[in-house]
Amino acid sequence: MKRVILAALAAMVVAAQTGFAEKLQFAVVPKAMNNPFFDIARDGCVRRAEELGNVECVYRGPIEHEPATQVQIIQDLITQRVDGLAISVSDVGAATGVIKAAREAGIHVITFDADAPGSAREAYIGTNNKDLGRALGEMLVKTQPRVGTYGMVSGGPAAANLNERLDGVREAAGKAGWKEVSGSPTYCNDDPALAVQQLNDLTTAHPDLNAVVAVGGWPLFVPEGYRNFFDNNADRFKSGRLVAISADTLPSELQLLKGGYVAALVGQRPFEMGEKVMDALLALHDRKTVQEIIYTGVDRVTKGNVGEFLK
Amino acid sequence: MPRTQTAYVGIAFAALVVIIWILAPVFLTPRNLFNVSKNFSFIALMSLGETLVIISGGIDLSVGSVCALSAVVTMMLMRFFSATAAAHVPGVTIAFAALLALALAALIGLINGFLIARIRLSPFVTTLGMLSVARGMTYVLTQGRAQYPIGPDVALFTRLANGAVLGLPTQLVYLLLVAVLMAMALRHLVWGRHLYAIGGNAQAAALTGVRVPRVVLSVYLLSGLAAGFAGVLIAGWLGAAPANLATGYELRVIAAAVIGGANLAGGLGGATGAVLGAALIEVIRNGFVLIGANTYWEEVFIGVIIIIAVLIDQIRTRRDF
Repeated sequence: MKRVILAALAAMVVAAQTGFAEKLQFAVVPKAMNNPFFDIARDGCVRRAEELGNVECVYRGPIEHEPATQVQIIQDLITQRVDGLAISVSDVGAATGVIKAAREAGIHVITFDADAPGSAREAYIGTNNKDLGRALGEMLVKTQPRVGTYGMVSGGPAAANLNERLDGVREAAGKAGWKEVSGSPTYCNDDPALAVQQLNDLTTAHPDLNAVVAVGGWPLFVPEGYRNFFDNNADRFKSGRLVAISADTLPSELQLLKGGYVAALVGQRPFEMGEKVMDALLALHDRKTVQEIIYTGVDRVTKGNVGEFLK
Repeated sequence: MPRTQTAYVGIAFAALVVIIWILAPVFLTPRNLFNVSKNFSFIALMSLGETLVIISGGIDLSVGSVCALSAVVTMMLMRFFSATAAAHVPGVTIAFAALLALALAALIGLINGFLIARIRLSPFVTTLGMLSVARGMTYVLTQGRAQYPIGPDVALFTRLANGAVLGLPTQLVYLLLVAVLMAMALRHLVWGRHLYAIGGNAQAAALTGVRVPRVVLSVYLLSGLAAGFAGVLIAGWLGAAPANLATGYELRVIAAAVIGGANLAGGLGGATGAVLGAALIEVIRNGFVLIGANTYWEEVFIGVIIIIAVLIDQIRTRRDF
């Protein structure tokens, strides 16, 4: 048994330790390593690290979203004495203590994507979620000329960033005279399959609904499931009585937009977040000042400009 | 050749520690060992309860959810009692909150035990249902929002749940106390002998006068209680109880028990094994980060260890068919 373990460990270490050098180690801790959004942030971070030359992007977090595991991993990264930490915070209360511990150990900490306001973090890089919500609302108004009612799908009631998006949609859509239906928003607990079911529920419960808005990309992360929903309501979609708008611009979503299954997408810029995370940590390491809140922009995509994003 | 599964796990554990230490010398620093021993205590506590259930020939899938429910209930009750007269006496709000949360966890265990021991429902299905019920209750009570400790006893709670005694993290101290109690109960109480007898052959045990339902009921109650205790401690450690806390922990808990020598067929297992099994899993997790090995391999590695553990158990106890 010992030999088996030894062999397995040795194999993994050889596989893992390719870039062993005197580079600055900046750890990027996502909420979950099985989430496609963070894959793109990782790509941006790795690319920027290569461009900078003297830094390395260490991408490491819980495989599945679970707050206690994230805290334990951050502790380990402190033990390992990385040169900087960028965290997409799973739970503010749970992370505040470990962020303090990192700062006390002399490690610079910033947050990205999901912030921990009130913690000892030095900067936050992410989307202005209210703006993203407003953009979703504006795209709704633009793509659906029949002013009427809409329903929304969100991830969970506790997610402050998603609640800001909901408010943004309400603000922009409300200004144009749109009304949110009862039972909206539904919360899918970040489960794509559940999100599709809830879209079906919303359109079943409200046969005269004019728009559905997903403030995260969940239903479109499962293209077949989403197409199923579309087919269930094909006559409503094709006659223009119903449109769908969604957040995020992942490849699977862009394909659905291209195919006409969704009217517009508003995307965050995770790649840019990854790049800016490296820049900010390097600046902090070099004792330069970094703005406390750095917003990455949003992309508005419709059938007209989807080609640029599919490249 | 070592005779017991626990001895094998002990050897594997020692080997792993040495390997990780060679590859990442920072592993053996006091600070890291302090963190590691804290981290594995939660899973190990739940594993102790789970091991009792597994010895009886059953399984408890509800432990992760019960842990989360107990954590959020502790926080919510702390807030509730802070607005009552209890807030004037130091230590009372946290004592009430924690005891009631433990009582709730024990009650859930009791319901599991009643359904399994008296009504004769399958342990797998019953506790699978309870996994959903307890997690659902957690979301209902919190409306999905994380709960935070509030009131006069927050500092005391942190000291009790996340402090140090003689240089050891309090979580580890609680774990060791519970483990010693459990080992003694299994060895010296009639209850312990009856439990092994039930796991070996429930019908034979019943024929020799063992009150099977009563013993089986007790192990589910204790498993719920252990999960609840882990929940209280984890909430104190994190300073927060997110509603999705401990999601999926049941699998880690069962893995720890099985690696430690608990046999899902019943009749085998013990406290030392459960603690070692949980420690092994945590050391692998911690080691992966410290060494800088690819995280995605971690679950593969733990899975292989589980299979090797049952393989050794099988070879060791192989009888002629």
